[in-house]
Amino acid sequence: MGQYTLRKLALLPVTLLCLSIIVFSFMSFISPYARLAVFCNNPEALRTVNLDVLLHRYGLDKPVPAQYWTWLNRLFHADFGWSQSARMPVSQALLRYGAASIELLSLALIWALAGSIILGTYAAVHEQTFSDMFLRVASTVSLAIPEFIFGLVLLVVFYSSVNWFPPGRLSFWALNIVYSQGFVTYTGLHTVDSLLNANFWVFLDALRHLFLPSLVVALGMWTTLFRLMRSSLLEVIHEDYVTVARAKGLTEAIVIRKHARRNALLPVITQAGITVVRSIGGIVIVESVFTFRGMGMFLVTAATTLDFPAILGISLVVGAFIILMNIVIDLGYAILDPRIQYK
Amino acid sequence: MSNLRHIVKNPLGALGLSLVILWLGIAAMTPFFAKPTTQQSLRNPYMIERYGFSSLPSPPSEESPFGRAAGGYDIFYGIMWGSRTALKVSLIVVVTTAVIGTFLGGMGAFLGGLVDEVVMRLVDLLMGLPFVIAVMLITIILGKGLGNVMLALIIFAWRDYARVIRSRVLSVKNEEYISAAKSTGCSLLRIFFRHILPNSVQPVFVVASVEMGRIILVVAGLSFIGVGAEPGYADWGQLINFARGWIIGASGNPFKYWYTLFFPSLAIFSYALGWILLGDVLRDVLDPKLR
Repeated sequence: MGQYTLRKLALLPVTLLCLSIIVFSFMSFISPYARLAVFCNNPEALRTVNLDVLLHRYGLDKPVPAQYWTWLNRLFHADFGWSQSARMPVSQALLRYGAASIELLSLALIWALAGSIILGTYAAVHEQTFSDMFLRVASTVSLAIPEFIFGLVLLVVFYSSVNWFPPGRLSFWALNIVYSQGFVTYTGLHTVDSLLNANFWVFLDALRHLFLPSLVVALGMWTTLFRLMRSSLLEVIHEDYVTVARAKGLTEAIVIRKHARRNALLPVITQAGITVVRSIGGIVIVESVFTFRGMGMFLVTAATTLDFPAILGISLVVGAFIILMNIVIDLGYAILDPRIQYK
Repeated sequence: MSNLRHIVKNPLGALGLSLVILWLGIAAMTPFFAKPTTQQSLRNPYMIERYGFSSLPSPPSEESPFGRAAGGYDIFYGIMWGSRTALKVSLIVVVTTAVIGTFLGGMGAFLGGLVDEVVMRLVDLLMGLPFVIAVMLITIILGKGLGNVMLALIIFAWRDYARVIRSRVLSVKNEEYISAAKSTGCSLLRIFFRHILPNSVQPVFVVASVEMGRIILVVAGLSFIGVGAEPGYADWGQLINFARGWIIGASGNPFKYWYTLFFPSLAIFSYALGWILLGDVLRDVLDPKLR
């Protein structure tokens, strides 16, 4: 298994190199003048400067392979370039926004897993009753609710009506604390950092801003997990060892919780990894609804302003994240189910 | 016909089917419900009727039964003509991807070897990329507009069909009647199209029905973040984008502009729900084990 992991990891740089070539060659379809626009803060200034001089300064007049080579050379020195849309180096933006998205994804996964395990168990135990039917219909219906509409409705109710959960990532006062001298940034995850800095109010504020968007992302995640939990528990309930557990005289709650559910959880846990990869697309839309400054919003602003260093950096990081997640999923299968062997 | 009876007998199936029929009816009758009157709409009826340029939404009135969004856009008109856009987009994308996916996935499984390997590696690659991000990148390069969104969706969405048909063809191709067809000297293409495909194509309809709904959710989402339809074009996601700046409402009355969000959301939700329910029930009906 170690060999399998090593081989997959060795392929990672090759895949990322291919990805960067694809994205880079896509970009060469766009005229260099359009790509120049991102470097100009002030449209008035464009009247006085010579565009061709600017093209030359940013190296946009060179042939595409040469431009790629320059970019790659800088990358080897850990320099992703400057992102005009984020107004900071791409690497710094990636760290900051990546941490935000990871925070959002993790919290959403916690909601989705907890919800689908509890509800899935309930539905399987009460098979073919009204509550089982209701949950199954609800899981199908939530497939038809677009993330951005659900997000907007939540904003209307919980922000503009009662102001419990505002959009954004932190309130202004909390931002002042987080970016002040005394606050040490360990991970970039505001919830974790605030606890490490023993600032409970910042932690609460971060949680308050994360709550609604993570709920929306969780809505997109729970259908598959819930259905899988229900069906795999139903399968396990009819196994012999569950009957034996019952015959020993254990209470039904212990039979379900300790004997049946533990084994039924295997496919759900591995599916959770796949679900995370799948919901990356949803993050883009959810973050723009809540103006939650994470990877998704970074991509939208970078893409609409043709901020190429940023687009390239985001593609590489997201690509690497997906590949690593897939390796973790494969390993998860093998660790949780000893019958599976990779060569 | 007996399949249809099974669908209607299931309450969810009946609901799904009636929602689908409702939207088909609305799309067919759109010119009667929402007559273009302004000059711009007369030239191209898909451009939403616009009354003035007021940046404030205005509530439902006799002229605009669902109210007007910011910019004076008539919401009722937008929803009516948007139903045609939705149907057009989802039909074109679903039919094209279903044909491509069925052909590539089926052929790969049937021929095996290198063809199968190439198709499945391609499917793996497409599965690994986040859909929305990839479609966004493609629309940035090709430019805004529904046509480009559709093209991007077609490039990506055939993967699901290929996977579904592949597993079916793999089990069908070992049936005795396929060996029988081979022994009578049928050509490979004839075996594929006359014997294998009719016996394995059923799950494709299930996927297609669910996709009819899900494609619209993706397209609406893209229009919402501004990479979909061009401004003013009748498209449900765009109507929600118009609502975006106003959903916070006025101070003291958070639900003041409810109509800008409510009606377009209802349209998107009911359209998607109809197709998804239909697909879900179709899956049960087509699976003889569950009957």
